[in-house]
Amino acid sequence: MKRRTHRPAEPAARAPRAPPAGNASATPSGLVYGRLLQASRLATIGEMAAGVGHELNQPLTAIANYAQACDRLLSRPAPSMDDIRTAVREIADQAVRAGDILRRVRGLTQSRPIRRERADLNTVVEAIRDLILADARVHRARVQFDLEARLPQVSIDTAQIQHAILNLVRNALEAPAEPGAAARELTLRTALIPDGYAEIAVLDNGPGVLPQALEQMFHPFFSTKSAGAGLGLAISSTLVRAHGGTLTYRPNTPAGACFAIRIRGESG
Amino acid sequence: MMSGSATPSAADGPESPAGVRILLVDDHEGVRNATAMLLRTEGFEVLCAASLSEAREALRTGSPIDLVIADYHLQAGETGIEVIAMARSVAGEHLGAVLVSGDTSSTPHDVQVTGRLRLAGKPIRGRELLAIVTELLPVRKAT
Repeated sequence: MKRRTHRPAEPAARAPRAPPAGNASATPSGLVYGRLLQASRLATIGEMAAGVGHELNQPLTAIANYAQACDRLLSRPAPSMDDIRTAVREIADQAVRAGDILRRVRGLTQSRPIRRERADLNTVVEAIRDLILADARVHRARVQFDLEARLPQVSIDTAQIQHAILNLVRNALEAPAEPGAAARELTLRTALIPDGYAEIAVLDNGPGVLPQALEQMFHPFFSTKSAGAGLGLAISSTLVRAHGGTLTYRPNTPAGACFAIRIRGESG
Repeated sequence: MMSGSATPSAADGPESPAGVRILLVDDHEGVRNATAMLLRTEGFEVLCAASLSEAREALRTGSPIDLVIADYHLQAGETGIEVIAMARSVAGEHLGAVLVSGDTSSTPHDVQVTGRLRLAGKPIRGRELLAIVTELLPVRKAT
């Protein structure tokens, strides 16, 4: 995910990164489009590597310490079998937890045909909650989940919508902070919208988007991030539109940005 | 490495585990419980906390500590550096501290590794952690 069009350090820095003539995001060929999505997914996960690594290190550390404790206990003349049993069970649980983390990452990165299924956005978010928290942790950001209990089911490719959500989260985490600004705070909020739409919004307390950038921020290759390709928002928007939905921006209150994905719910 | 059967030394030397209190701060329950079990197996007394506020409360209500072990990345943007600073404000600036990080890439480069502050990466071998703990324990003078 590449940074959205936050206030640039130097206005001129954005000029070379303006989108090419025409609308490159409209209808790329299927093959190129698929490869672009795959590359974007891998890039997103790659950028989250620090957080994923930290998350994976937790159960590994627990396993190592429990095993070491078992070793010490077993060296005693009359070891407590209850303590050893507790440690062994914890080792098994933590190993399963490590496997869950890897499974979630693999689910996001593997290339496969689009597969739509009925789902609710809360479940979609919950499945990547740990990854989001891990990424936020290395950015020293706070994250809140404000999930509406009653959401309509939507017909989606879960991995694609998760990809879009993670892009928005990374966007919010990487938005530049003004000197002395408050710690970054994110909220992932789901809501039922009139006319039967379900919404997942990513809100932050960052600097928001400059008015002059609003028109181009969903165009590919438009970014203020020096090392960024400027594809995150464009790809997220394309993914959501392929589901008949919308990705829109609105200022957060009292400050910051709010990117919202809306997808029509299925009746019945 | 310190042994669970070690006895207090009458000579100058590291503190024995018996009677040594360690504040352990990690927001991951599995890591916290496993590390606490490892330390307790060695004979240390361990106070556990998941956050800066819990650590502060543990120090407020408990007996003085001899060492603090803190994870760098805690929840809600808190860090182990803040925990160590808080613990030292209570227990004294000489308090030995171990800062543990599972993500060395984002560990701040301005952390001053001194004789009283050590860095450790996750996962760390139990014997390595115990060796660091032993080195950091205050030296008890013979009386």
